[in-house]
Amino acid sequence: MRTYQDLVFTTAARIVANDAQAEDIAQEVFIKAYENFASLRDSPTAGGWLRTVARNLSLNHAMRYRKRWRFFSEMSGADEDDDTSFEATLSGEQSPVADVSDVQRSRVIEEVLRALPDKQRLPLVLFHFEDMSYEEIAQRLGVSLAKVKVDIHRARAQLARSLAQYGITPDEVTSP
Amino acid sequence: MTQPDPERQLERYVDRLLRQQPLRQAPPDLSMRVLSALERKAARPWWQGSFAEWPTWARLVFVLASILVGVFAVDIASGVVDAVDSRWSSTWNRGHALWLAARSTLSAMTQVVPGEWLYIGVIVVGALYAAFFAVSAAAYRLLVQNRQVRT
Repeated sequence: MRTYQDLVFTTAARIVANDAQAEDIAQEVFIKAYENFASLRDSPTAGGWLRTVARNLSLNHAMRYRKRWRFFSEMSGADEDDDTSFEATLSGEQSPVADVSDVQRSRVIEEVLRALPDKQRLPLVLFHFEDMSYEEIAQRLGVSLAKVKVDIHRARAQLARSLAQYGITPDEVTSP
Repeated sequence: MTQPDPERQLERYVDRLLRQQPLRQAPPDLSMRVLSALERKAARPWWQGSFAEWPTWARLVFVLASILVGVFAVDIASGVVDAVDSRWSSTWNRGHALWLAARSTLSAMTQVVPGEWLYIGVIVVGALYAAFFAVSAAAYRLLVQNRQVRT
């Protein structure tokens, strides 16, 4: 369990954007794992199984919550802003609030990600962390393909803009 | 030389950035929580678990009992339907009379109350309804969303 607890917790936390809920989901995932202990014990795909269960439970949680509050949470026009400023982020003038170390940078990225509206964060996380295609995301979230593409694009632009305020820019990110 | 597509650049940048992110550390008490939840679950009596986990004899007894209750209920219900059937026509007549009374009241109101007043009434009710949603949305943002951000 110790081997996979960070993986399961991180998967849940990035989808639901709430540590307490992510902890509950991680607990549920490991309880399910113990119920399937016989088949998982020697399985080389145990990590994948845990991650898939964590993702599905987190999505169920997020979707249930989203359905309940969709009307109110989507009344906000905050995410309808422009999405043209990435070019400015690439080339333009930034005024970094502060230089950040690697650890701080990771924390800042997680915080900025968490601050995105649900409808942008969910598809972004599923695309970049969970390796799901646009079509799979649209099907899973029950929205149109076009909406998924627009939301992901807006989420990326918003992420880049917010990170630029912390001095994290494309030039600063090195290739792996 | 062609200019790189900004959208592709943005996608590559975000992808690289996010894939470099390390895993977050799970709370240290997570394993303890899981173990105690498993212990609680194991200590539960069998009838509090899911039906699939019940002993075979208990499942059989439950299914048989359900069938018996079903048959009994159908038997009782058919007796009740027979008894009610004779009164049904009088109930229908009463319902029909109520509907006619409501309709005649409405038509009298439209004749007595000026049309403008009715329109104003509809607008006021609509405005109150919109205000209710606005207040609910504000309360949601204030009480639920802010709390989530803090947690």
